[in-house]
Amino acid sequence: MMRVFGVQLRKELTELWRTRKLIIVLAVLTGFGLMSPILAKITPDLIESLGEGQMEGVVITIPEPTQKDAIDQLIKNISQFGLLLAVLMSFGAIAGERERGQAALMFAHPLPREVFVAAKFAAQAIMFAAGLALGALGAYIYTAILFNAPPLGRYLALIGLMYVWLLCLIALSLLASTLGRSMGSAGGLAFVLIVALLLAGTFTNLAPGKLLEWGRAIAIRSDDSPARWRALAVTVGVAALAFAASCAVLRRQEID
Amino acid sequence: MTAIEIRNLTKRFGDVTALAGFDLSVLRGSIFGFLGPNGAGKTTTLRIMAGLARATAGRVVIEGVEVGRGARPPIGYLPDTPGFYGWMTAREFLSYIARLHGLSDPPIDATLERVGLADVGSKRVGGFSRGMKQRLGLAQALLPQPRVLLLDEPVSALDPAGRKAMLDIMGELRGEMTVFFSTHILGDAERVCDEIGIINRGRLVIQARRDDLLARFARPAFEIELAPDEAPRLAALAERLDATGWIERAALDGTRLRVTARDLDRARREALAMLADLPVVRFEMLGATLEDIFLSLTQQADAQPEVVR
Repeated sequence: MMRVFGVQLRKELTELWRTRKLIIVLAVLTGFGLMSPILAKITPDLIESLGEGQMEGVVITIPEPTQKDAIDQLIKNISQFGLLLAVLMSFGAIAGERERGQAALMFAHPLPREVFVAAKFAAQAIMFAAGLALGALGAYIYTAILFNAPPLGRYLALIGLMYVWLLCLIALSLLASTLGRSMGSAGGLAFVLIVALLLAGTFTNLAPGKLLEWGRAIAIRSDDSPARWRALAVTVGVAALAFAASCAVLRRQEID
Repeated sequence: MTAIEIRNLTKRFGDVTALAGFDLSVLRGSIFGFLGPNGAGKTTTLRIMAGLARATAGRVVIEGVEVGRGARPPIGYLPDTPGFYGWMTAREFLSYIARLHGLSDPPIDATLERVGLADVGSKRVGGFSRGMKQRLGLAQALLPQPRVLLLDEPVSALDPAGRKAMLDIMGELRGEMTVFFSTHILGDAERVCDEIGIINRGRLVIQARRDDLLARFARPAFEIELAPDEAPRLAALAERLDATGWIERAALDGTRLRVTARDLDRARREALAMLADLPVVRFEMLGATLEDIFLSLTQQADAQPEVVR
């Protein structure tokens, strides 16, 4: 089983590389990581310059940006573009192979379906780990240059929580990809699942989205958000359940 | 020495019965042609055999391994429209398949050579024609050297040269492995199969050795051909034959006349006498073609399955 997993993971990673998905994810996450502190730094100047001459006599007072603003900007960028990338990169992973007839060819070989799902998830997890690591490194360096370096341990805790949140999105998208009979229906289902997940954050502190608030509070030493260990447990649980459901559904599915 | 044993194979999709519970067995090392019109249940049967679909009832045993019960039977499978990873080269794809099977020294080059893809082994599969993909599909099925090869419409997408090449390869596999293939191209089945099963509306209509089938369904028919300028005399002959009591049908086609007899012995004696003063180019007794048998059997919708051994 482990040997086949290794073979399949190698295939998935090669595919991400050859189809340029890996490059796209690395470039987007690194780009937004680098841009976050820069945007935080120049935003007051931008607003000031835009406001000049527009409203005579009105004085706009914008507080000097800080390290906290850079971290807020990073969280905002990763939560938007990371979410988009996580869904786009994984919703077609299984539905697409089924639709293109690749699954019918491959499942006649000794490739257990749970290994197929596990390799897809692992490859996505590795790709996003690399992207997030590069983005976080870029953001850290620029934050240190433009403001001052955030405490490394706290910053890593924020990135770790972001990563767990992204893994949950990937697992849900893969579940949608398994359930959807076509790429279109898988995409629609992934959208519904992610919207439901985001909406859950407005109703309960156990929702995965609360991890980002918690991570922010850790990184900026704020008391605004208490520890969300239960949200972390729920997020890991949702991801594990989505993964297990993908395996179970695919195992029972008839392949055309 | 049975390689494939199918018992009471049934598949229903809601209210639709795709396979109505049939039995079939295939001898080890033989080439078995699974024939049927579109929608007869050929692909559904093959998908169940390959473990891609589940039977509603019944079972399939391949080389002693029951399909869908955990262990994987020793099969190679080619679906009707195989989907590949377009970003891989043919050689990379076969290497990936070999690694999945845990083959330490896979005969990749020999397999590419065998299917006629040796020259394009380093080309990306995304640029392959449908025929080349079909050949690569055969290569991936052959690579692990399975004991049973399941091929779903392996020649339907190919041009005549490609079909001949594919059938030649299948012919070479006789005795080496059991080949079970579906097709609706009857000439191909007639050319390469040892044994034939005909399925219609989810029921097995007949299973028999090809030669037995052709002999059993031999038609009492013959064809007469006259010199090119003798069409009017041939038409007159057709009328005279029609007037006799021992002719079922006399069909004229230019300078050829196809005659189906009610009484073949009498037809042989009397028709030859009637040709005495005609410039006959050819007189040939016609054997049955698989097409005739196929059409005859598949038009009998509720025929009972028959096994001729």
